[in-house]
Amino acid sequence: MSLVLHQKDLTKLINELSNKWPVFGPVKDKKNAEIRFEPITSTKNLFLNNSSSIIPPKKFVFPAKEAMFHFKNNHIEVKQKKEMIILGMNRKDAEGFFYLDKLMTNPVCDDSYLEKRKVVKLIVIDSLTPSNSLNCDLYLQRVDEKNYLVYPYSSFGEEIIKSKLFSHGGSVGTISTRHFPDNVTHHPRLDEIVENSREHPIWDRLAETCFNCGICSYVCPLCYCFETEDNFEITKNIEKDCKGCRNRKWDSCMLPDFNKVTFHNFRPKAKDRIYNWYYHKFVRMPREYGFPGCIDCGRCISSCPANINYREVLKELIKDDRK
Amino acid sequence: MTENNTIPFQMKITKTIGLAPMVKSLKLSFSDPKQANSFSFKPGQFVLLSVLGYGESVLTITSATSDLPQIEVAIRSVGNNTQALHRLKVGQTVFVRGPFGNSFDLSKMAGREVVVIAGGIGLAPLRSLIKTFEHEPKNVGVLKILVGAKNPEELIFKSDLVNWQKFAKVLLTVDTADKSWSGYQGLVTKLLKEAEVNAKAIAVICGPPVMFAPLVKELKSIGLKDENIYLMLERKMKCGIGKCQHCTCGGKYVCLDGPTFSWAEIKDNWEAFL
Repeated sequence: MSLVLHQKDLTKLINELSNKWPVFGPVKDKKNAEIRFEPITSTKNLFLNNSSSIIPPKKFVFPAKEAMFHFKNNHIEVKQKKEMIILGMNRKDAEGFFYLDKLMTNPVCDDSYLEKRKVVKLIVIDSLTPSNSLNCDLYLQRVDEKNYLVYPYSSFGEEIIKSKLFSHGGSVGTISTRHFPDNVTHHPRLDEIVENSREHPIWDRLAETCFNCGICSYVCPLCYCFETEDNFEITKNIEKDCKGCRNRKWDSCMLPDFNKVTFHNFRPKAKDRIYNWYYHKFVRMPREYGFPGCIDCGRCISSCPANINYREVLKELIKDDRK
Repeated sequence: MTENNTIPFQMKITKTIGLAPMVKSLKLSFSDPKQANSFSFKPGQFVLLSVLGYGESVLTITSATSDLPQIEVAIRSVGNNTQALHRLKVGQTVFVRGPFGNSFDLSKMAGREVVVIAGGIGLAPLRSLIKTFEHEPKNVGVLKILVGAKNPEELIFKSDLVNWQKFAKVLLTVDTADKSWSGYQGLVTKLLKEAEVNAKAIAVICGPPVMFAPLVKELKSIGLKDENIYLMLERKMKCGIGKCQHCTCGGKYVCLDGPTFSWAEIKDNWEAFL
């Protein structure tokens, strides 16, 4: 018999959880209809329809800006991270987490990421069957209007389902499937095609339209490049009384100064930066990790002020490959 | 390394030495004896050195492993953090992460002719290799050291250069000579002829990227194989662990796969020599 959670009990579950942990979920902004992951205590504003938030939930494990450690007079303090629950991301975003985890912990583990990741608990909600690419705690599959099928994935998930809200058996609807459009990012020769496209005129064309704003990186669930920056407080005697922190913050390889050192910029041309963005996602990453740096969520397309669409770019490269 | 590879550990400055007008060498010892015991490195590896509040700088270790539990680094004062490092005095604290990066392939060099070619401050990382040969001569057959600098004042590790003549052929050149200079003048490429480099030698190059193309061309015309010509690449290495993406170079991470690459590895890399 399968484990079931009734739709009407979801609010109770969120209630139970939010008594112990901060819970975040996708919430729809009434004014401009944007979806954002925000604190929730009930299903009141929860918006579960598989559509994408503007900023992916990666922000919980990899915030736009966060202190890695604080310091005071040559003493370093690493603050203990607090547990939190992210509830209601769809399967695609959950897969984004799975890939991001692989990227950040292999071949060398980023210990700051891991420390943060350990305290972020994921409860995925989607109508699709769980896939093999998940690194979550609990998966709730919506099988009909009234029921969720429940799959625990970790000891934390096992702990949650001890609640009386979960029951065995009950009526279970038919499993729905969602149709994804042809995913160009899974073309079998894509790495080769992108690698060989360095002389393709498309890169010059994109360089003319791209604003170099970096938004495509910020909204990407699998972009993870970062900058570190030291901050210190201005005190009366700064030599003797120095305190501050070292922040890690989002960066983007599309920004003109991304590769700049004091006297030299190693990637000064927009054309090379754009090619590098595609090269990383569709050449280097598949070869290094076995998957592309793209879950095909389309966030970068909706956010790009220059209307650059990677699906169109890749299709053009594939089309021109044999010419 | 601390338990967390993104959190630095403490070291203390035990000596500062002025090497050139903007270049200082710092000798560092570990504040924590446990750290001193667990720390090891190989010639060619780098550390990220920091004055808290000022950021981190990539610095290749210039001492040999036999100098442990102390390490040395050479710092050119160019940015916030390197300027802050220059202001520090003996006894003061710095913060360190590492070591990171690959190292020179010593097993390949044993018994063979090794030609070390440095331009300017590029001699700093190569000093670790040269000092290793000094302490363990079996690691090398014949050692030739070729160094170029802008002018005699910019030549770093002068006393070492004198000392190294005891076991290596040391040739120096400057772009602009002054009255004190009676040696070679011109590019370091010129020294290759004087050095009588063997076709089977291994060359290790570190210096400004403008040196790379003419040196590689010359070395290849002498008969050196692509896999025996090593270059040290510089990039904006921020994290040291292959994550932040600042140091990527085509399919390579300079902080993980490098900073030392053979010519065979990177000659076709689309952005190694942009």
